[in-house]
Amino acid sequence: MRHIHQKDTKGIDYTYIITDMQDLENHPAIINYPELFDIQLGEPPPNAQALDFIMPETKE
Amino acid sequence: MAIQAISNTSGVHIYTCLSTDTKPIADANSTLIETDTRTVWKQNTGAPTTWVNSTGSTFITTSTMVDGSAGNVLTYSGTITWTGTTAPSGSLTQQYWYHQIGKTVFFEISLRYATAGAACTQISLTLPSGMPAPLEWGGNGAANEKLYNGFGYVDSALTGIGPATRVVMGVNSTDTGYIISAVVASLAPRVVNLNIIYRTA
Repeated sequence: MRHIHQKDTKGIDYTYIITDMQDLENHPAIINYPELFDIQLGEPPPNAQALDFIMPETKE
Repeated sequence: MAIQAISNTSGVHIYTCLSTDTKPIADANSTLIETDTRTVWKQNTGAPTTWVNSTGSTFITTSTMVDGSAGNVLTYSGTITWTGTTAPSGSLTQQYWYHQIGKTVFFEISLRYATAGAACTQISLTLPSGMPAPLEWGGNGAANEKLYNGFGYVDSALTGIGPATRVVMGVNSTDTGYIISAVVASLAPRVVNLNIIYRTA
């Protein structure tokens, strides 16, 4: 299953976003922060960090 | 000084000091465990199994000391969930240790990242596998319910005093395990240190 990955993470700090959305391209993290997140194929690695994404009040 | 043996259980020898005006004497194998009008000594010849009160004769409880991580730090490999815009990342150091006395478990975990996250308000961690299971309060224990509170910090800085942080251990959302959660005002987290003291069966 595809997942949204936080770009600067790998190895034991690999981070993916928790979401039920199927169309990940329309996820707020991908739309608003493509420099921070990308879409990866397959499952996140075991013991990866999870991120319950929340939009900041203002985009930096 | 008169030393009187008051108990001799399996592997544990307990003595009481009958003189109150004589300074305690300890040899390489003795440990002072309580000072009162009498002085109670425990000679460590094996794992401690029993304790006495200050009268030197009554057993308060029967406790078992469990090493837990034997004072050593262990590498945490559970699941970490952040709530925020980006999670902290890079060169993660994740360690914990614990020990158990009787039915009381002391647990501490420390996380340190190279790169701070952004606008995070919460972290949740699964209880490490192998840890004693928390004893659920009567009436509590369903999914997402709180069980024990704790203390600690989630902070953006490696130095200084951390911000106000609320820490709780509870049941996970599927009622299949336990999680430790900490809540802070929105910050860019880089270090985490959480402590929980809880009861086990």
